[in-house]
Amino acid sequence: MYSLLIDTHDKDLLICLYKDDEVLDKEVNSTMNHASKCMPIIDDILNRNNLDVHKLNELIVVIGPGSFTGVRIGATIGKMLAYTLNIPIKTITSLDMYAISNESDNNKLVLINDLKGAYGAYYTSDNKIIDEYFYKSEEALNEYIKDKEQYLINNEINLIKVKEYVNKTEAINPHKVNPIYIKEIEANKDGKRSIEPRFQ
Amino acid sequence: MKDVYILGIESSCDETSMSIIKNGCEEIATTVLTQMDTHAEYGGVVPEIASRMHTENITIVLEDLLKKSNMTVDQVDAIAVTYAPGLLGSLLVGVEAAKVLSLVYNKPLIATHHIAGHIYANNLVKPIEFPSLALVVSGGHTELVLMEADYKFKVLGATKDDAIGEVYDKVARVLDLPYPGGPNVEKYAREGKHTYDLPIPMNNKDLEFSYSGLKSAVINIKHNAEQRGEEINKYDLARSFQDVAIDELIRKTKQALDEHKEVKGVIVAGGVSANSYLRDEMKKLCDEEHIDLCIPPMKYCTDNAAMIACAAYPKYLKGEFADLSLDAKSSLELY
Repeated sequence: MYSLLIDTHDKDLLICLYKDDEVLDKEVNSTMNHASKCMPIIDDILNRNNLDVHKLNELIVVIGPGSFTGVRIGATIGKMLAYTLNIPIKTITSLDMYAISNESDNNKLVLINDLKGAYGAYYTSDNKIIDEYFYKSEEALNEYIKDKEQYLINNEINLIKVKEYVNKTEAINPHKVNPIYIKEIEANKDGKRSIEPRFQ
Repeated sequence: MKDVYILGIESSCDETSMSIIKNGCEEIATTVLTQMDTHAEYGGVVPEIASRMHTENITIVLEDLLKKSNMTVDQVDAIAVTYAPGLLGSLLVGVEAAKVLSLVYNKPLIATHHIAGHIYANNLVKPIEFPSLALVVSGGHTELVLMEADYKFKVLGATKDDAIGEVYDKVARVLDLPYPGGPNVEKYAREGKHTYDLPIPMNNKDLEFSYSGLKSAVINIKHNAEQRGEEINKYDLARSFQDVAIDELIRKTKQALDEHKEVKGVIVAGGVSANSYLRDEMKKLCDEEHIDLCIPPMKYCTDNAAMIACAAYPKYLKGEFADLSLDAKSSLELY
């Protein structure tokens, strides 16, 4: 069974090809050009492993939070691949990915920094959420981490643990695979939409 | 020759659209999902919200297209996508989706310019005759383009400042008319009389356009009326503005025709080509000049993927294909 993981939430673009639960191949690209790199890297990985794209059995997509454009690229490619290949797609959030990747005897604080602050979440040592996903400005963040600094974990990705985790999750209808943004934009502060698009 | 089917994708602004076109001129099926009502709440397109909605709906639009066309992606010969110009985040959703289709179904990928799409939409009506004069009028463009052959574009004149569609939207805001501004200004203009004195833009002999002066004049009339505690007549101001703005397009088109006697036909392209006053006046001009006029039907004037698949056809015949590293560009000249 072949699974393809797409992670575009951060500066580094990560594509990983699993055979069963083992990492068969992976590539990290740090050129910060996910739009033009993501598909060629997927194609390269498949080619160098002599694997036709139709041999893929499962998609795994990191849906954010992180770079808005980044997660949209990953989610769009992931849902289009799953839909056209008619294979299951599973999702994991970037914050959960870091929490399960890094072991700790204590609670775990996961932060993903950007220019003005950070996305974060606070977990127990066995990865149960204590504080839901948030985005805090630098100032609010300093206040928040005062008593939690010692629990801050590394943002390293353990691909085996990520696979173990998604194995226990349910596949999602590709139409419903969408990024999570956490940070809402100025024009739409509550993130709610009263009018959905319509077919013409 | 074997029939060629091209699947087009368009997501440059607030419409997610896919279409299958046969031989660059025959529509098999088109799906357009519009976000217009969502953005109307904000008085204009919010780029981040537009990008989010494209991602949410991209596979839904594909599913609808395949159902409507009764075809599979396997049966098409190429995948075409708008890669420029437009809202970057929105364009990227279409571009990445197109690349997935290209990889999964092993089909060539064709990068298409959005404005070329508006021009080539005319092939859905009748084949473009060369040389043609195209008037491209939209929220981002006001250009007279001489088209000598497929993809041989020569810009004879363009706007020095605001695009005509942009000014329509601005005037709509000044008159407190809801989004989308253009069609609402036109609706009011139909009920009004030309009573306000507005300056004629670029009252000179070249083919350049300028709409910022006209825009300012409309703003000033509203402002001065407010200062005096008077009400403006929205219908009359809309009419006065429209007369001046559209007459300028007609005047410059006539001038271009005078300078280029070799032109066989006039094409009007872009969102503003949906404007009835422009359509009527252009018809009158072309009748007087005894020249062929082609304006796409209303449904092809707004953004759609049918036009993108049409514009891709000449590139398909020439074998001009893009690869999986294709990136979107927010701005890019046509030529």
